[in-house]
Amino acid sequence: MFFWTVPTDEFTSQDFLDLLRRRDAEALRRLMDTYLPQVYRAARGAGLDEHDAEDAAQDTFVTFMEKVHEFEGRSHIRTWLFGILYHKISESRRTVQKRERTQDIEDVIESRFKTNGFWARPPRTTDSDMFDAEIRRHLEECLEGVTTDQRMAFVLREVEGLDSGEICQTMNIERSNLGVLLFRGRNSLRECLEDRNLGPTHPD
Amino acid sequence: MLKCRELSTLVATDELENVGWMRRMEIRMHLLMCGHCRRYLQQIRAIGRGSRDLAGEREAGSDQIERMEEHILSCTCERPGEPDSGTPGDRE
Repeated sequence: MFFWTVPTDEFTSQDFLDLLRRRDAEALRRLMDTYLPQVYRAARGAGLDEHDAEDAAQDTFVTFMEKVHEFEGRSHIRTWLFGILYHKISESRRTVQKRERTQDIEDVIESRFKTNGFWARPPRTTDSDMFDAEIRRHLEECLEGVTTDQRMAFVLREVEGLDSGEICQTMNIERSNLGVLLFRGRNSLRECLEDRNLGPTHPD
Repeated sequence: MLKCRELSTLVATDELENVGWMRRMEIRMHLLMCGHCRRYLQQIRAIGRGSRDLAGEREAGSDQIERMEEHILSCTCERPGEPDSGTPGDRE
């Protein structure tokens, strides 16, 4: 079990929540000015195209306003918003969810190591500038091979900078599950980028 | 002794920061000696940087944000200047 404190800002005050509960347009506008760009960016990061991300971000705020009377301020508003977004994305993706390729990546990682725990096939060598350039070229495509949950966890961590506690609340998972999602997501991306030829194989 | 497999798992699961000082020393020593793990760590970090760059390129423009805000307001709030209906509109 981990402990984590709710960050405080104007959006966590009871006065502000009361304004939202009264459907105060100015209060909602302030909330949107701060968080709508983030929610939209997270939706794009999770794999939605421009149009779907716009719909999902809008729906997230509309749903938030429908439920704001249930919000007690025990978590941060941002966590709630990302949570609603995550719920919408995973619902819409449930029917088209790519076949879970979990086992594949676990096998690939396993094959990377010798039984004694040292590298059997170490990461390929490349200079870091080249790796950065390759990432820019191929990341979008490689992200397509990552499941929605792995992608969401990865984006909330790397792009939105949420801490583990907040991501677990958002996605309603345990810390260990988050670790597994990040492990699989990051390794899938690294393997995919390496497959796209990141320089010569290391000599040893 | 810390093995490459364990170190790479700590890196990929974001547990690197959460280990005790003894483990931290082991990690530091291991990274000092093991070029493969250093490279793995650099690549995982570079993937994070790349994803932030990509997200930065795809942020919504101000027009788009404005349009979305108007849509949300029209769905959820009284129009400015209109009297408050007095009902919070809670849907149970």
